[in-house]
Amino acid sequence: MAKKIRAVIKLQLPAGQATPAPPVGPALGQHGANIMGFVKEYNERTSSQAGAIIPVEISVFEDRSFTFILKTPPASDLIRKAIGIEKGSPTQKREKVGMITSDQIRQIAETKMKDLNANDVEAAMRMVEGTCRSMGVQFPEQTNG
Amino acid sequence: MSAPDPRPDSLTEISVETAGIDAELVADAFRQACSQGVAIEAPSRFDRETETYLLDGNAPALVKGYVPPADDATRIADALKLALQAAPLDRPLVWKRPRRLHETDWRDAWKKHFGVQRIGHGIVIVPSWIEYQLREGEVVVRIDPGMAFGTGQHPTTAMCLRALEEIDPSGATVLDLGCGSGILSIAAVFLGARHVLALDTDPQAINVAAQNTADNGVGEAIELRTGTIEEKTAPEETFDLALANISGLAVERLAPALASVLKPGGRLIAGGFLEDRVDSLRHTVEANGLRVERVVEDGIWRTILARRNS
Repeated sequence: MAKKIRAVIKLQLPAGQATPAPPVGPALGQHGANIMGFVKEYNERTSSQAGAIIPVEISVFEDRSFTFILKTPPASDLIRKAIGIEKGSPTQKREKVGMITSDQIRQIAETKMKDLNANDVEAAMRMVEGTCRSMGVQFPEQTNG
Repeated sequence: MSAPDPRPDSLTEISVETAGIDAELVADAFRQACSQGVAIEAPSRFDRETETYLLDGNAPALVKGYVPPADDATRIADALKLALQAAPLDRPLVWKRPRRLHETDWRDAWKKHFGVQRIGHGIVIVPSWIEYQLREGEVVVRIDPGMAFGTGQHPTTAMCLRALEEIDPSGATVLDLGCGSGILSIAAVFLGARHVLALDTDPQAINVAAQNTADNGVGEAIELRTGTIEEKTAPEETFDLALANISGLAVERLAPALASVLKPGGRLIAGGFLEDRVDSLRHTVEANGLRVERVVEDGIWRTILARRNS
């Protein structure tokens, strides 16, 4: 029988470098979960991906024990890395911050597939393009059309 | 200007209730505005078929953003409301009043669920706020971990305690690298160790360890120093036993230093890593003149017991 869940908490944390500081401390502590225990396990499981943001979904049970699953980095993070920019555009409609190739979009879509609600890579690519659009990053079909 | 304190003693929480499927979009806006981070409390429902809890996109989720006490939370919340006004959301947002959180509100909440634990044959870990009557043959370690690592609840610490008990450190000199709350050092002394040098790079851990060693009446046998093994051990200082319950990366990096402070025939108990790192650690440890005698398992965690070649 599955244990009763008290809360499911989603956070975006730096791989291998989470600390008990906010948001981890208050988000988990309010539910009585052992903050240091989580930090240790998260850092160990993400240590090989240092430099990336690895989202995590933590289930805190009624007895305050917890488990968590790691997700793929956010699409915006992967896009920024792929084209080497710091931030998206503050006014995405007018200002373009960079260009991305279809190969890069496909690669990101493949990385994100398991977390996305997409049936095939093509559908996942459309989702990644949506994120590009909201960040002011141009992609091939957009420039053609 | 000094750098902001990474552990401020208070902060403000801005939170909003949103449809589960909109939570990520709302959280993205929060991430731009809330410098201390963002958390989503997602709704879940029990799925009878798989007997697990699944995220429920139809129920409301809570998005929480944390801002430093010096920031104007009301202004940030107003800016967020404005930014999200035009967002294509499934359901209107329900804003909560920003509230001030103090570190004590969340830091100690888990203590209510930290009870007496028996580890190995006779080790008993007792939270310092609980009364406990010692029984014959027991080694009782009283711990208040504060914000330091080491409650004994974690499998890696429990495995190190069991290994320590099994090895029997009677009369040994011990190095505890990354001592955290001091739990392993204190247990080592109770199990007969003559002297322990306990190191941690986190000054907060050393403070916590000092309190715990004093509470257990073993302050004299345990020497605490803030810093790394390279900085804080003299070249002639050698030990019968080294404890390194840290992380795979740290053990891998520190293996040469650990090997150099062990006496010939001295032992190493290293933990804090998962199965995937065992092979490379075994290789590193053996390349540095140690022989891996056993790898102990507890769930996903592993602990290596090794001995320096004589």
